[in-house]
Amino acid sequence: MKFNLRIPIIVLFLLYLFVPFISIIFWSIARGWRFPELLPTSYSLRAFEIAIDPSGDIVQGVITSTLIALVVGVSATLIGSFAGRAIAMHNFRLKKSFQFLVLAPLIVPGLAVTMGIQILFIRYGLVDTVLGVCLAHLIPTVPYVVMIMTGTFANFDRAYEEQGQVLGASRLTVVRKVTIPMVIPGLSVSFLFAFVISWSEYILTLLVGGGSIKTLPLVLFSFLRGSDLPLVGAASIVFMIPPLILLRFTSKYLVGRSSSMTGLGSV
Amino acid sequence: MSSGVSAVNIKKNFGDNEVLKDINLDVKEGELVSILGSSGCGKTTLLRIVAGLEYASSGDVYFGNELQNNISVEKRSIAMVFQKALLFPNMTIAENIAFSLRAKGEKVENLKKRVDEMLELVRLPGFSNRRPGELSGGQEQRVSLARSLIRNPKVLLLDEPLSALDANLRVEMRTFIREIHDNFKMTTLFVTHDQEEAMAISDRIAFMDSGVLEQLGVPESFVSAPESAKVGKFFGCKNLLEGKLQNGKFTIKGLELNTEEHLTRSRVIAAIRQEDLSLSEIGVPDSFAAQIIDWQFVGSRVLVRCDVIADGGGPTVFVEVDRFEDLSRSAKIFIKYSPRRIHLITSKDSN
Repeated sequence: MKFNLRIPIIVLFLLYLFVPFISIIFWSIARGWRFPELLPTSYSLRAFEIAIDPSGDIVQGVITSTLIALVVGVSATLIGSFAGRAIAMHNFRLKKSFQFLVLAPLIVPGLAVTMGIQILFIRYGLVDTVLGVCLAHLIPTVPYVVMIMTGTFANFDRAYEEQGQVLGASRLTVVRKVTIPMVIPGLSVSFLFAFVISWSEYILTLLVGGGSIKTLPLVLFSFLRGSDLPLVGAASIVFMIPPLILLRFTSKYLVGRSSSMTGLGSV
Repeated sequence: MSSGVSAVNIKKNFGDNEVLKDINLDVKEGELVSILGSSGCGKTTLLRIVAGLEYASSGDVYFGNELQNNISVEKRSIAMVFQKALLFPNMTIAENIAFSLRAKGEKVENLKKRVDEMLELVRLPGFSNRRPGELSGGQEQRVSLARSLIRNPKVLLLDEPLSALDANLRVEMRTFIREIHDNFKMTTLFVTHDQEEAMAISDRIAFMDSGVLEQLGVPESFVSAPESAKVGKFFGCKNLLEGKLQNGKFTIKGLELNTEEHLTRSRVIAAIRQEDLSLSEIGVPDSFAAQIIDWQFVGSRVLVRCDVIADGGGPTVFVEVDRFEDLSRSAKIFIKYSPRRIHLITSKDSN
């Protein structure tokens, strides 16, 4: 019989992806789990009770993180879309330099830049504020949006907008009824990326937020420094839920016919 | 209500590139005028300026007596159909057709009925709920036309709407466009690079070359009376002979032809259509001797290349004959012409 390699490879791959996840689940509900034991001997929901305490760090972290990630997701998508459209559809002086500058935050080491940002933000009173954290989060998110939207707009035929105009629609109506519906895959994926990057950002939040803006990653790290591993597990699970929910609604644009990643949304 | 279109002293530069050089074009109310020319001649730019999608560097556009220069594209009473049908992919066919009525944000009476009437008009009844991707190229272009016509525009602008379709469909669609035009009594500007298409449906043709309006007239005039060698060449005139005119006699390299003119000019181009010449075994009045070089089939007809027999070698002349009749290479024959059919171009043209 011919040996089929495909299934073992898939199984190995899935194990590689999900084993850490499984151990987190066990940790979150274990009462105690010592070395030689394969599985915990007794279970408890104590960690989740702490996690869902409305005044607890985790719930507060979720609220702060969600707020920041939403603001960053929307702003980065907006800013990046304008830049992406300009790069894809117009020629202007110093275009190459502009493209490089936009993508530079992906190349330059983040920590080095963050130090500079912190000094700058202290000067303008932006440290320890939600606004400051949001602004800082735009740095690693906008480049991704620009990349995605450049591809999206490169496949968008401007003639559709002209067709809208010659049919009597104003610029705004054209954008609302013609352009946005046609680039919605790119916009959705951009928002997903920006949201997820902002959601899991640690170092920028720590330095700019100065510890007083406690997003979920900060809460998670403080738990890690303690020794309550069930609580770390519960926090990790909470941490994973929002991106997964978002992925559920945008995944159709990530793969398949209307993909904005491969076919780049050529409608 | 339709209105005429006037383009007055239109100039357009893209950087240092002069795309339109002082164009004057007057289209009468209810007239269908084709703007014809090869790619890059500026015809589409001119249409886009009339539409308001592009602004002229100088010059004015009028619809009737109304100056349009400062009216933005969405406020002009136009409808434009492009080469691609450009149906909005996120809308159904009915939503596409209703687009211009809904774009204003007002409530429209009998919207559904009007959309259905339009679908009826373009012979696609029952297509309301289809999606753009489900239609063929010709159907899409008809929806695009319906989407434009529902606005009741004063001016219909067509930018090569048929060039993406295959040959048979093109012929069918151009007749259809002419019918629609006659039905709506609209003023229509039709941009095309296909001279056959322009000849078939236009009241008048505006022929453009390198940003210049070379000739404006009824289709027939481009064949019988080209105003420049460029026009003659574009409309398939094979014999454009440059020579002298002496008391109405045209001379070139030992060949002398009788014309109906009585002028004298030192430089003139004789445009003689190949189908206006015929071959003859014997010398008759208004004929000259020539030698057959070769021939090729043009559809069902034959285009024969001949050298005029003259001292020092005469010019080459093309004759189109009905059928292949005993032609043989190097045979000596006579070419018969009609003085009436020799069109003399005496203008500044230097080509």
